[in-house]
Amino acid sequence: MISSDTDLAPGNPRQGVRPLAAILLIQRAVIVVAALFLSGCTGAESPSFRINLEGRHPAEISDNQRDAIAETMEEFFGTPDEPRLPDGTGLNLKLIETAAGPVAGNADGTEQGLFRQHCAACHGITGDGAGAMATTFDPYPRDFRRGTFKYTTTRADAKPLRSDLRRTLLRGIPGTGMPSFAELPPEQLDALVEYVIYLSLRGETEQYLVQLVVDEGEYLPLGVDAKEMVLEDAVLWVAEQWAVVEQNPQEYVVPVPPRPVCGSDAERAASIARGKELYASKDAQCAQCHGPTGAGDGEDERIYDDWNKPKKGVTPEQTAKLARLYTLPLQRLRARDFRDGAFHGGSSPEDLYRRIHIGIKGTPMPAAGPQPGAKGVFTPEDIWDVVNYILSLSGEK
Amino acid sequence: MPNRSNSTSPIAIRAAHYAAWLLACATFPLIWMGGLVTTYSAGMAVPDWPRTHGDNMFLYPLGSWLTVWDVFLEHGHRLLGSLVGLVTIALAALLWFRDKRPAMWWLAGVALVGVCLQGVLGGLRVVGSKIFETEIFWTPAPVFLSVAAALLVLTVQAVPAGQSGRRQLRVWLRAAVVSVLFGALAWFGIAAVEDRLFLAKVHGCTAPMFFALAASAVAATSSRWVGDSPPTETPRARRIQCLTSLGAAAIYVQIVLGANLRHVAPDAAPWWFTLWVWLHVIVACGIVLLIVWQYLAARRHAGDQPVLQRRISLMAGLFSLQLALGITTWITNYGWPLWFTQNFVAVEYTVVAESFWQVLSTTAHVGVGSLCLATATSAALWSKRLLIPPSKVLGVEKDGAKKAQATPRKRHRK
Repeated sequence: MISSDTDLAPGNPRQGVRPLAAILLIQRAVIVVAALFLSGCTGAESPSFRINLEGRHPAEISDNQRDAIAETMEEFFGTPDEPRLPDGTGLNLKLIETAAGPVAGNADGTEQGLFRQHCAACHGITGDGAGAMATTFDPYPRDFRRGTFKYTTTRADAKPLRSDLRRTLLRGIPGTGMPSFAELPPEQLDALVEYVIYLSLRGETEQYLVQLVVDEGEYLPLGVDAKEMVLEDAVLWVAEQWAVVEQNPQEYVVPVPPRPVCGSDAERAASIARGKELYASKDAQCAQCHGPTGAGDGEDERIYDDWNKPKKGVTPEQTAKLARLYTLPLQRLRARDFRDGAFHGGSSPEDLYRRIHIGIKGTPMPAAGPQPGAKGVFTPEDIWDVVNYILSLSGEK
Repeated sequence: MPNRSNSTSPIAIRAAHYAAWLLACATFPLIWMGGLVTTYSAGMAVPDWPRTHGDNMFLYPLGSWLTVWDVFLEHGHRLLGSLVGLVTIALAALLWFRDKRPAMWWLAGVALVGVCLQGVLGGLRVVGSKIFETEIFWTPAPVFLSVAAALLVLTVQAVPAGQSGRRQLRVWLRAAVVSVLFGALAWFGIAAVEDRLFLAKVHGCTAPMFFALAASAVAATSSRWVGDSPPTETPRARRIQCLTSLGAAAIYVQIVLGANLRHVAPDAAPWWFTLWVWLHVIVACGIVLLIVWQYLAARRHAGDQPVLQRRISLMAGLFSLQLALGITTWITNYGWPLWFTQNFVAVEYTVVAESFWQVLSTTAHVGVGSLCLATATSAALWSKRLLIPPSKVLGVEKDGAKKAQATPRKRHRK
């Protein structure tokens, strides 16, 4: 085919040339077969939002119900390529549009499709924390649809500030797959924060809508009244929760009092000893997860994120079956080993104060500080003692 | 038809050799630049093609090109690609008109088609969805192509009236099969080019192939290759040849898997990525074994072939570097692996998006992967050129005699 019969004759300079073409042809065959085979799984050019079936059996929801939910959600929030917002949410649609859609650039250097470029591979197009790379990480990426964010400066019952989300973007989360986006320009960070809030608002509205349609059996197709109800009771109500925190930070942001100065080693030792005692106290129950010595080896090993945990009141066999219906398999959380001196929510004394006071939302780590209407397990002074004790475990001061 | 001379002049071969080197040297940075374009997601920074923001690509103002990083990358990638295209044309012309070896004419043809295909793939990757938006035009295309292919078969292989019905049936069946195949191919092709991720993957997989082609041209135009020295009879020649070819194929499969990891669909199910990762790791282990095996085999049985030994050693070194880069790429993109996260270093480590090390390791992993493929292809080719099994000499004579006998029979049948 390619060479003549004498090509293989010894001493002929053409010797061995035939395999050259043969190898290249084989490789070309491999490229075609491999690329075609491997790309059978590629996503559509315009991906769509995925309906939230968490913890539900797919058979629970009929096609009509799915269609009604999808149609209403699109009416309120648009699509991943063309987001939309009802009036009165207070969100910045222009910023959301910058983060939405496919990745693209403009001649002036501005970029679009930021969420798909930086976040969707882990958090998913829908923000369900089940992106293509999700199973690679421990813990799994955050599910934005619940509106729950772990590391905030606000009260346990409040939404985070935009600056909280921005801080997480800037700092990243050490020891996890969440990167720091410190290299991105400020306007891109703002757009990403706004889009995360948009996905969160959308997710919470969808939860409400699924309950309305599936659990309460709302008559289909959804009429104007029903949609008006969703708008008032879900979209605008959730949007208000976000807005009120921004408008009244003095009410919702947990203040961090100055850390008491320990002038001498004896004072510091006394504070650490008090902190150790508080840590081990029955009320606080810190040791139950973090272990008696803070090594993260507590007795309670069945700790999960709220968005990835077994259903209550079901047997282990049923749990295993149900887990398949969750977007991701169950993943147990690991309580922090304080000896490392590294913390996902920040390692400064002030960060630790907030973690103890506010807790870590969506996880079994409770809020131990005083909350509105509740005294709390610890006073601010107690919290500083516990912080000193925790820092002492890693040799920090 | 090109006016091919009867003998290859040494000067022409030398010129072709330099042109092949130039092609390889221009292609390597082009691959790096392509890698950077993907790393920075800058592919859509210039949304039109073949023009650049409405201007002629070669006349795009320098100020606009150099001031925006993403545009610099994408437009620079296109310009460098054009340069590679020009060098390919020069090389192809030299090989076509001045090289007497038919295999080199084929190589020239494949290189020329390859560079054009790669350019078009890159362009479609940018404007694909806009072109194929007009479904009314594209939907009947597979049907037209299918019917046209069938008609072509029927016309070319027309059976005169009165001939046997069996022969006619055979031609009709052939036409039907070709028709279905072409229709399916067209349908799949159209579906594929509508998917930018698919195009990005194929674009990314064709580049290393082209680089390997340039490396092949470098090898096959070298003075050692075209010299009169006969291949050395080596007891395990076949095994070494198989191992080196298998090594090149395995590295290519690894590159395809890497492209799937890099261009993962944003809405793909989570287990897809895990699957690609595991396949990537398993194939990497397989390549390590293959390289060690061929290194030992070449050292033991082809110790007198420094040209081959050097290439295999270079490939071993490059692949070691590639493994290190792979691990670094993972850590700088996704953090430490799960089993390592209890470690103190891992607990404190924060991934930084688009950091210097992330960009460098990821792009270097792409570039060195291509270099591994080029070296592996070169080693495979040299093993065929330099080694021959002891029985091969007789075998050729026998084969040659058989073919000489067979040829007249074939002609007679015609």
